[in-house]
Amino acid sequence: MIKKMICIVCPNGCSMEVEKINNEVFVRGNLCPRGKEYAINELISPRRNIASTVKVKNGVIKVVPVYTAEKIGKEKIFTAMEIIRNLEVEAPVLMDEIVYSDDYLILKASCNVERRK
Amino acid sequence: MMKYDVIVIGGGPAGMAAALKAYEKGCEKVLIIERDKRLGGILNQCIHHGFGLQTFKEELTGPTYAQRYIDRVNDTTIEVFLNTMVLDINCEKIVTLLSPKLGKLEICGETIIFAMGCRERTREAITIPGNRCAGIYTAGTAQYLLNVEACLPGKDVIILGSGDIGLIMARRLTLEGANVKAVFEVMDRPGGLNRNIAQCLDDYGIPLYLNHTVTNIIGDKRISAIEVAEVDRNRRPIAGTEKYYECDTLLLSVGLIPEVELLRKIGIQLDKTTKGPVINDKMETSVEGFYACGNVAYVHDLVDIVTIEGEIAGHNAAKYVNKELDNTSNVKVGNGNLISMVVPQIITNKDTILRYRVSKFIKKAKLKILDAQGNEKYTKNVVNLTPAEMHHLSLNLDTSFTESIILSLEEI
Repeated sequence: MIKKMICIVCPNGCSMEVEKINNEVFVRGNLCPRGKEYAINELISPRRNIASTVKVKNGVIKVVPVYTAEKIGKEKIFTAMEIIRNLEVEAPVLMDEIVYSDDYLILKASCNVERRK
Repeated sequence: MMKYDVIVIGGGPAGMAAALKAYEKGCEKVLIIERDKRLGGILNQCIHHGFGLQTFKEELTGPTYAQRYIDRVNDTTIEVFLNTMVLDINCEKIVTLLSPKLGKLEICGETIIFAMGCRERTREAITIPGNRCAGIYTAGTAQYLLNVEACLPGKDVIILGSGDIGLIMARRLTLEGANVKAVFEVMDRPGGLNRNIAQCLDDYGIPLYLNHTVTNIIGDKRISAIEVAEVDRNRRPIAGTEKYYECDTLLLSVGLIPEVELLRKIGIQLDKTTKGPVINDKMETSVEGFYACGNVAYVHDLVDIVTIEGEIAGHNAAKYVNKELDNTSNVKVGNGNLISMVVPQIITNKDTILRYRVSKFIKKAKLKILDAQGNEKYTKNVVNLTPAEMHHLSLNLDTSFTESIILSLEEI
């Protein structure tokens, strides 16, 4: 059965056709090999990066933008959001600093947040 | 009066790139004036991935892209006035500014670089009839409220416009627990990137309705419902197709406009097709010593191009200050068949890049450069051009023999 999907790896957004025959995956429409890799992962275990914000204590801004350092399973997105909702970090925060880490989720700060004077 | 070599108005990616390049090219007195309490511009609220693929060979979040430039600015003697608004500017390059720290102040620049970005089209601009109730936001305002002020704008959301800002907000609001019921798009194709349709709408089961628009807003103090209708090929609502959707929030992602109010005061020539100033390949406006870069010049898709052009503006401002003026021929560039806009509008250097938008989706065409007499000076086959993205053409022109050229498309 041919599955249609859009690759999300780069702004090209190639429209691909993906078919699994026996144990092999055939991909058409990708302009680069990363598209094929994306298609295979999408069939087996779709993963995503998400971005959100985390409360900051004593910072010059209220929340610090955070991002997932590694993709997480699509089915875990809302669990991750629940963790993010309950987090709080103390200023100062540095860009790319790890603000949360467990077996399934690593969150890093997207930018610096200075401490409020 | 304080005098500067270069005064940059706006501390987003365009302004920072321009200031850094001017500084690097020897300008000692460089100033960035920023109205917000920090540098970064619009990137501060664009917390999602997708920035910097060309510049850094990796996809960063908006705030990270900004932080990399902020760190570089902090490593220089570039002055920065934060929380400072430019009220006025005149042809003598005297800038009047206002801030809690400085009060009202006049300063002077040998060159001025405009980098104020753009603003969003509003409900009033597209004249949606109905009640003038609360709960109607432009998508960028909703993004600011959520990502900077940590405030959820609403719970049951309808989005009008399928450009990237609308799509990104559909996902963002859903992640924060809102119910994004639908995205409506007046055109017959989505306005944003395919991959955003996939990762912002399909991933969350949010429906997209093409060929639809909002025809009425219902509510009292706050919006309670919208009326939508299907539109015909001329984007006119078709009677009898009206449907109603209950909601407490309507987000509008219906276009961006360069923030050119300050430029008008100086009589800088504006271009109707870009809504920004007429610029040449040095990013200079029609008035000598005034440059423009970033979204104030024209609305960009990629921050990487903003950075490149900011550097061009900064470099040329430095040359002006150092009195290294190149000689220049000026070739006018116009938009022809199926091209809705092309920049820069004037070429001074024969090695140049033209960036353009097409007016409709084009499968296959000949991209042509015509001279003033209509003769073809250059032609190239192109495929799959969409209005949603800017495309580019690298040129090497014999500028001494051409007064003006037109960029045009012939469908095949």
